[in-house]
Amino acid sequence: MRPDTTAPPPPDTDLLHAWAQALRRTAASLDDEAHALRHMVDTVPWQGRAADAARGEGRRLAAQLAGAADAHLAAAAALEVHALAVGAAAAEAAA
Amino acid sequence: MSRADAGGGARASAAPVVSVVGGVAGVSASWAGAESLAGTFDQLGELAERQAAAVREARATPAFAASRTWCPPTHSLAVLALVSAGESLGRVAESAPSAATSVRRAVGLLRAADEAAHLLLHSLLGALVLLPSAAGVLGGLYPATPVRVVPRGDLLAGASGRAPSSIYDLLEHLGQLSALSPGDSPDNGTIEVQSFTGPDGVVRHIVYLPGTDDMTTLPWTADDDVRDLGANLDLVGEQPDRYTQGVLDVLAQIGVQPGEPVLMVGHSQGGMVAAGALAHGSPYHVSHVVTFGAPVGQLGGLPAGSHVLSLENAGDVVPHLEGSANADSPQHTTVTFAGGTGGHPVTGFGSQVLGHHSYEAYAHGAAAVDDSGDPSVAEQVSSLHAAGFLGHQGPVEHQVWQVLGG
Repeated sequence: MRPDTTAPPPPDTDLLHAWAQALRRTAASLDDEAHALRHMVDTVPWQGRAADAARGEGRRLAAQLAGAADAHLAAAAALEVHALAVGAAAAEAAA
Repeated sequence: MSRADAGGGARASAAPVVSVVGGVAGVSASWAGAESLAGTFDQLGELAERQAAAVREARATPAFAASRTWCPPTHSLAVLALVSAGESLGRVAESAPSAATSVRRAVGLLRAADEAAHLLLHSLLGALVLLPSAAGVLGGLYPATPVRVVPRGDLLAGASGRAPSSIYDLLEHLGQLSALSPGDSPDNGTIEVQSFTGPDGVVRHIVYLPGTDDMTTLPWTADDDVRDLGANLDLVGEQPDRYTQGVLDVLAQIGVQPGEPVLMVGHSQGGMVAAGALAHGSPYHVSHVVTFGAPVGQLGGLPAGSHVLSLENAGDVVPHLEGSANADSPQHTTVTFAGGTGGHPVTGFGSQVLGHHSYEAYAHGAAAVDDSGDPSVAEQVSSLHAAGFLGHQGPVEHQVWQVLGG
């Protein structure tokens, strides 16, 4: 049988997996930053209401960073599911 | 100023600490910490922006777009998740700069308020103190005779052969040295230098500088005492003085090398000389200073990484004669304690002044500093240990010298 020349080229699922790994690394880095920020906010030698307000800002940022880390993990997982699905579809088409 | 030996009897009890200003937990350090926090906010904002751009760039790659053909549902879910990740970074990038700005504004306002309060208090105190400018003029009336330094191998303090292990030891040694020249003594102007080599091979020196020998000197009665009223006026006025010159001459005679770490310890006028040698610079590497009852508020900025620990007895007027509060800086920690008159009987105003300024009163403060858990004080003391000045085990060389004018 002649090959179907209209079919899309086989997808580079390795690239998608590598991207998912990169997202996981970014998530870990964001999580580290969130922890470091929380520590800094708790230990900065500053007292008073202005200091409390600054600590509040710092904790809010730390929470946002932790949220961003979770979102990156979720994106990595979604990307890996997609890469597996694409790989399976391509294998089926090849068969 | 009492010449009594602070270590003559049982160890003095620790006095209550009234306040601690400056040091690593001081206001200035806390502002520096707050500004550092603002800097971190900025850095995180920039990081979030970079990461968000990376997510957007990856989402737009042809390979990812092409993969949609093979499985549209999982592609859509992945796109949604990536959009969510990008938005979460966007929130960080948006809030971080405004948080940094808020913190910087707060620090700026607090600094300005503190400066205004300082100026107000300074103007209130102005009438009670010796202004540096006036002191400099008065000091200029005293004859500027040359300085000579003489080794005094015949004089020895009880602690000369022992390396100190605490602030109390430093004060005790200083008190013993001061007691070598009681009253109008021919031995006035004696100082001592301890030198020892640490396990790292570095030679260290501790310079002990007692305070004023003669507070009654007038320009026309000046003799060969260098620790007189004229030197006090010169030091408050930040003018060159004979005591400082003599101390530097002794270090040169001993052969102290420019890079060798030096700790200077001084009571009263000796503390002014010690802190001045650090603040104004000298040919020597003065890294640490400990002062007892010394007016050192007039000194400007201290080199980064240096340490000055000032003990002030509440009720001692001498540390306030310069009319400026000691700087609140990460380098300079001032401990005020309630040491009373150190057991000196109070029979009038004069005895009260002398009692509060005595070595015995400061012995209670030294004990309090050694016991203190305050972070600024603890950092100062631990830095003296880390620099190898306190707790040295091994032989100690010691030399008593006399600084004379004329």
